[in-house]
Amino acid sequence: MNSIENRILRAIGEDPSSPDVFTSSNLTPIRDSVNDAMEELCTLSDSIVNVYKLPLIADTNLYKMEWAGNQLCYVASVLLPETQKQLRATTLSAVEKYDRRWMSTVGTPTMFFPLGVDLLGLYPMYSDEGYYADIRCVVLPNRYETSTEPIQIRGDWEDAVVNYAVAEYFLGVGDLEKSIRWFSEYSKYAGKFGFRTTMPDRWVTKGEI
Amino acid sequence: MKFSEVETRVRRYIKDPDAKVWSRDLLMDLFNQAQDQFNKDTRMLVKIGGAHTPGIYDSTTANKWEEEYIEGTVREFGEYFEGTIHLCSFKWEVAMLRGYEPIAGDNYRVTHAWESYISDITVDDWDVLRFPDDFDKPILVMYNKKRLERLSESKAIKLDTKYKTRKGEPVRYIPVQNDEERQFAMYPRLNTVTFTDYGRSFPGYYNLGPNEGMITVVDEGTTEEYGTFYRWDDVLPTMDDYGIVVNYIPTVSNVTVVYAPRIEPVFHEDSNIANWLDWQVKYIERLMVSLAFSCNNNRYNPTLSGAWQQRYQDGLNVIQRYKGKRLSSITTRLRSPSRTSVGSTGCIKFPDTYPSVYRG
Repeated sequence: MNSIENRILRAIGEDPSSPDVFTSSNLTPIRDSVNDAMEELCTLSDSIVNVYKLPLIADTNLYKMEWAGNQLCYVASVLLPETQKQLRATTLSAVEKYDRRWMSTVGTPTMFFPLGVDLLGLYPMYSDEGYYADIRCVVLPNRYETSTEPIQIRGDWEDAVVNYAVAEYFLGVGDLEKSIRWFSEYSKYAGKFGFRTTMPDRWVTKGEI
Repeated sequence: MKFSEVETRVRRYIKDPDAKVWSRDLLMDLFNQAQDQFNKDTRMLVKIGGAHTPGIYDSTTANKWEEEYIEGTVREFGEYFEGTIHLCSFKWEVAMLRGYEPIAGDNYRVTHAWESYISDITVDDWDVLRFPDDFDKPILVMYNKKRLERLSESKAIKLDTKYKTRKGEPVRYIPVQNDEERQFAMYPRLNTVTFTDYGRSFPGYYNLGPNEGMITVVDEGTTEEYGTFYRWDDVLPTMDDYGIVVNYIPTVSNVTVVYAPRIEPVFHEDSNIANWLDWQVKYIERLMVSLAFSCNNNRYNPTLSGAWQQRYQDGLNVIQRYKGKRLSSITTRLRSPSRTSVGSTGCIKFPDTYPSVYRG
């Protein structure tokens, strides 16, 4: 049990040293909430950036990236080590309007365009093998599953993670009032990155909870 | 990620770990509904597929309803005319049966799409190609690496009465009407075609074995005649194939489609949730829980349903931020530098050199 999990258990009324429900073998719900919170915070804040070394294939425009480690969020920038130049970001429609024969045009890539959630296009494309691109990607941390795995989150965001997990716990047991209270605390942190919650300050109960 | 993992998490939220209230089938339905809704709300999935030209089909059917019982790629064999109770592979067969002189050929052949390019029969119908099975909306359709513009059939009729049989270099594609736009034909149709067997390396919806039909096998990994490289499957990288596992979509003399996909529904607990990145699935789960609390059972709870709906809305806000940031680095935009602005009064803006008062 790590320090974040300890804090969560204390907040929901469990004794971390001898928990009733969330024993060390039954911490999956808490860990799922912590992982969800970290993913959401990293999505909003771009806090983790990794470089993906993509070998470029001759006569090839479009690439699909699958990450064996962290989860891909989005492509922030692309550098060609050969030319030491950053590629300009654009869209497929812009490339298509700029050059109707973009799928045939060969040369040193000058632009990249993201497509869908995990596709990347380069324009123009190399006609030879032997090049690669440094793709700087905002990524989300791996989901941790044991108490000994490292947690990739900034120290001062621990509060936000705790608030999120506690709120989700109370929502799970149907205690909306407490849940909203903790979500509003979480929103104060996430709000720094432009997150706006639609949860109301108070919930008018329509039926029995 | 598999559906069973999602189910475990959702059952935790709805406090029904032993499926006493919500059955697995019901949760599966709710998940499919939720991911459809999430797809409509976010619109961020894009896929790329290829259509072999001319089309290659494993089977033919007489009726559309047969398709769901057949594996592989299917083409509807001809048309069924309820008025005269005829099933015809070619329209001229109607004339033949009714005593009129046939135009060409005999009445006992089923012609595959590619045969019409090499036989001497008179072609009186178009070569229909299929969009991928999970196709929803086209973003870009290309033939031989060049864009095809969309042309509706009603406009094609006005443009060219021989729109089905006109030959030439394709510049348009015509979605087939009454078919949910799952099929299309190129206009004009091709003069000639080349046959290449892409075998197992042709991903998506043509999964042929080697040496099938009149085709030859091209080894996977060959890049000389392909213009597009694309990692298609879920295999983790190996040292083969340039360090990563690749599949190819042949683009030369074939159709390439960039499209927004329909979401593949989940049918089994071991079904993979392949459409979404793992971190996006939690937002689908929120909507799923909201729907679960709306179901008509003894755990019906509109308040909790509403609360989880709000959580889902929060998730959509996160996705909106995510989408916005993906676009924030875009520096090359196609926008007119001198955008003509029309004021709130609706007046036309004159050039600066125009006299302020016009005296005729």
